[in-house]
Parts: sequence; structure tokens; C-alpha cells
Amino acid sequence: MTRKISLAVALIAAVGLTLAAGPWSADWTTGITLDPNGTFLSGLESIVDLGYTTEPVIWTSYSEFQLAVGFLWQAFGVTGRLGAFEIQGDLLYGPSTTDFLYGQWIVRMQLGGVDLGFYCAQLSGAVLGGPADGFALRFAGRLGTLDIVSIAEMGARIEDEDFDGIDIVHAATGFYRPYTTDPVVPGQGFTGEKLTLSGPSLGCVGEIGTTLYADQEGFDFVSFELERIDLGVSWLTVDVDLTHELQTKSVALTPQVVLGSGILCFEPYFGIDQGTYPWEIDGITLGGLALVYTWNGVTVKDLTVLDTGRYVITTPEYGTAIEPLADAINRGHDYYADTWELLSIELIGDACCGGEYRMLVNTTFEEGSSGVFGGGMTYAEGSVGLSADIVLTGSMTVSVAGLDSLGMGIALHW
Amino acid sequence: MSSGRRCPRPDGDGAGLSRGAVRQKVGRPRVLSEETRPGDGAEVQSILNGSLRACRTKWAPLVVGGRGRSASRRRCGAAAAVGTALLCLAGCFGLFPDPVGLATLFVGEVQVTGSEGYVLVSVADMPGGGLAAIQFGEVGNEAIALTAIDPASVKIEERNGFTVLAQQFGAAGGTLIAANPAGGVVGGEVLKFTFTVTGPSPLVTVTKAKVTLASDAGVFITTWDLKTTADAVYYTR
Repeated sequence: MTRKISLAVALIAAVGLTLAAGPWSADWTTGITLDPNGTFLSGLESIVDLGYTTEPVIWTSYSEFQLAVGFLWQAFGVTGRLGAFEIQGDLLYGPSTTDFLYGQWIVRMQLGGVDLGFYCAQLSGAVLGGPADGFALRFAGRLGTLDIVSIAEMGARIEDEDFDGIDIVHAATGFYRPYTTDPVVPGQGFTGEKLTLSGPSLGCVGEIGTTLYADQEGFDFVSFELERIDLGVSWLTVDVDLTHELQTKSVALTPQVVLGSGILCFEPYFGIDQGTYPWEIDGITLGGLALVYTWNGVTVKDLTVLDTGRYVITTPEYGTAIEPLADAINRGHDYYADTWELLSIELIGDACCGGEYRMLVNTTFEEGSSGVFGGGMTYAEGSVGLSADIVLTGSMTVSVAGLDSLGMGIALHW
Repeated sequence: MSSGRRCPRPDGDGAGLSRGAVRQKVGRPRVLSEETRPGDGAEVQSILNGSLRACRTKWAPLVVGGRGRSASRRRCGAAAAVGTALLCLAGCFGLFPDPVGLATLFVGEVQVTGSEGYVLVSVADMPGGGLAAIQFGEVGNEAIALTAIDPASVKIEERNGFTVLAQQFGAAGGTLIAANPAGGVVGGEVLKFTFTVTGPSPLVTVTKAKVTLASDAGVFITTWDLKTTADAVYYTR
């Protein structure tokens, strides 16, 4: 399998290089991961992203290979502007199973200050949750200080502040591809209408918003959101979310400690301890502290989590920051579990030949670790640009038991 | 189901349409380049194709601002209005079905590189705010059976906020309890088993009757499906 993948990767790279001229553009990212303790070659990844420009649209092809499954994703796309219409089309195939998986078509335009959008998508029966198809119509505009957004759902939902869109997940490996339009039912009947009004501030309330949602069975809910209510205490504001459903009403009060920025050289993360009732505040807990200092291309970061049950430190892909655990889960961010301290040093500068170099070292300290001072894991990654279009990458993970993994790769653009 | 009969069936019989058949009917007109076939959604398709062709024909003068622009705009506007009306009508063709997707627990196939392997445990379409707790049997009545896998080597990585509260893996199989204190997971991974493989064709098998699921709403999830990646390679979240 590895030989086949390597051959396929080399073939695509060769074809890509021959197409370096003209309207073609390409990015090829590949890397291997070595595990000295177990399998020597534990990971191999290769991603080829091709673009072909035919004014006024760009056609794209995305091919991803992974050691575990071979040819994992093949996606095609088109984006561009046709007159007043901004278009986007996507197709996704699963080559390992020779299945068509998903397709979407988005057309947007502006008409008299109103944003109009047509979103349609089809999900194949090869995906659990399918087959399904549908479309949605989105109208967004401004009336004075009032922002109005209307989404008519005809069997599909679209990504917005409350909804994350759709991910197509490869179940065995967890790799996924995200898209905007989520077809939820077979057939294209009316399935929902979402009307959101937001924007105006009123006296002590920073922002007011309301959302009405009705589905094919009628009224579903209406919610009123009042953000940043000033209680007269300079360091405390409250968000209120009042939701009426057919038979229930819920009120969520979210107090927040506001210290402003630049007051302290470190950033505290406070949590509110709520009492038995929503309007009761039992206390304020200091959940974490972050110290970040940047000087001449060197960034030193020290993150301390005092309450590991409520706060976590996200991985480098998600900014290496302290985040409430609930938020990290809701947003799908990866984080270091049971970690109470993270030391991070990052260096960025100009490389010799037109590119730039970057070096990042993260060391974590974990609960229950047998390492010195509770040391858990050290992760280092680096990249060196040999030119503006060629970047070498490397990574290393060291745990208490020793070297866990060693990775290296190359990224090309032409 | 009666609304599906507005399009003739391929066999010419409009009676007894299944949901899948109707979906094909309504979905087909979007494939505008496809040739129409008599009796295969041809009526709806020809109408849609007609309005699209009209718009395409007048597209260029509209964009470049040549002669006959206002007339073209009017025609295109009319075509757009007709198209919008047809789209709205297309919405009426729907059958107002319930959302598809039974709550599903996925136990992935073993992914092996050399002597190391792993299995992902994921969920899809979990009700009640998502899966908040899962129990795989109990000691003496294990829900997890291991084939060609060293039970002493099994380690469990927690995903999406899930925390393993208790676990035991031995010759009789494996059992564990995991919960998510921060909320539910509607779709996505919850656990990852990593282990050392001891022979060919390693396998992790879960007995559904011994598995208990609970939702974030604090109730047991009683209606759900157990699938492996042999049943469904992909899922949505």
C-alpha cells in the first residue's frame, strides 16, 4: 500500500510540475511521520491542490492521500464571478470506496443593498445521514441600524452563527471535509424559516438581537439576546438569552468579568460561579493566567490553568490559548487534556533565500505525570523556506517515555 | 406521498411511489445538461431548461451593457421570476418527511500500521443534545471483545470532552464507562482505542445489547444503531 501511495504521489507531482506554466497553479504538501517505538513509518500524508484559471472562474482539484486508507478524498471546485453572480460549486468523492459523497452549489448576488444567496446540496446514500438533498434561500440586508437575515430552508440548512454547516467524516480514520450547506431530508419541501434581527443598542444594553425559527410543523422557537448589559459595575456585564418554545421558556444569564486590555501584563481568565438560581452569583473563580511577550521575532508564552475541569489549553492548530472547556468542545478545537501549564517559545525570521523560518517548542505539564515537575510532553515543529515556493517542515514529540514521533515534510507551490 | 405523483414515474405508473423514488424525481431537474427522457421527469426538466436557456441567451448583452439591455433585463427578470416561482413550486413537491438519521454508534475498523493499531469510536445524530455518557458492559459481562489484540496494551484516548471514568481490559474482553462533563456530542469521535496487534486480522467487536448510552438531556438513548465502517464508511456531523 505504501509503495502504491508513494507512486501515486510521485506521479501527481510529476504531472503537476509539467503544468507549472500557464493558468495552472498548484500546492503540494507531503510529509511522513516516524514512530521509533513501534512502527517505523506511522504516517504518510500527501495533499495536492491544483487550480486552473479560466476567467472569470477558477477550477480547483483537491486530492488527499493518507497512509491508513490510501486515496482518501478527491474534491473538485469552481469559484468565481459571472456578471453580478458570485458562484461556488463543490463536489466530493471518496476514491477509496469509489463513491460520490457530496455536492453543493452556491450562488450569491447583491441587489440594492440586499445580499441574496441560493444554496443547494446533495448528500449521497454512501454517507450515513444520506441520501438527502435540498436548498436554502438567504436574504440579508440592513434597515437603518437593524440587520435583517432571513433563511428559507427547503430541505437544507446553511452555516451561520448558530449552525456549523456539515462535515463529511471518514469513520475509520476521523478525517473530514467541511462544507456550508447541509441537506437534511430527502425531497425539497419547506423545512424551516429562520429570521434574525440584530444590531441596535439600547441604553445600557450593548447589542440586541432576536431570532424566530419555524419549521414545517409551525412555530419552533423565538429567542431574544441582550448582550453586554451594563449593571453599573465597571468590571461586570451580563448577557441574557431568553428563549420561548411552544411549551417551555428558558433564560440563560451569562455574567462576564471585563477588565479591558492592556491593564495587566498578563491575561486572567475568570469564571463566574452561579448559584442555585440563574440570577444568583456565588463567586468568581480565577481559572487561568496567560503571559505572552513578543520581542524581535521571539514570542514567549506561559499559560497556567488553575481549574483544569473548566479550562483547557488548545493545540497549536487552534492558537495555543486558554479556552473554556465547553467552548473548545463546541467549536471542535483540539486541546491538551489535564494540562495545567504550557511553556511555549516561537521564533520567526527571514531565511537565507527568500522564504522565512519558523520554530515552535511547546512543553506541557500534566496532572498525574511522572516526569520532572509534572512534565508531560514536548512538541517541537519547525519550517524553513528555501525560497518563496519551497518550504521544508519538521516536527518532533517527546514524552516522559522518550521520543514518540518524528515528522518531516515538504511544501511546494508553483 | 401523493405530491410525488406530479412527475410521471419511469415505468409510467404514478402509484405507490417510495420516498427514494420521489427524491430522484424532484432532484433530477437540477442536472440541467442531462438529456431528457420521455417519462423520466421530462416535463419539469424541460420547463427549467427553457427558463435557463432564455436567461443564458440574454446573458452577454446584460453583462457587457450592449444594445437591448433594458429589454434583456426585463426578460431575464421575468425568467428569474419564473425560475423563482418554479423553485418555490419545487419546494411544494416535498413530502415534509422527518429528518433522516437514526442515532448511531460507530465502531471503526482496526487501522494498523506495523504492530500498532487503533479504533475510533464515534457517534452520529445523537438526540437530546448529544451523547453525554457511554457504558460498555461491566466486569464479568464485557461488551468489547478483542481478537489478535494484546488487551494489556489497550490505551484509551479521550475525544471531544469525554473522560474515561473506569475501564478494564483482560482476557475476557473489555469494559469501560466514559462521560462528558461539559455537554453532549451530537456527531463526532468520543473515544480512540490504541493497542498492539498480536496477529493477523485484528478485530474489535462490540455487543450492542451490553452498551448503554445517555444523552446530555439526562435520559437514556434507547433507539440507536450500532454500525461498523463496513456498514457505513462515511457519516455526517
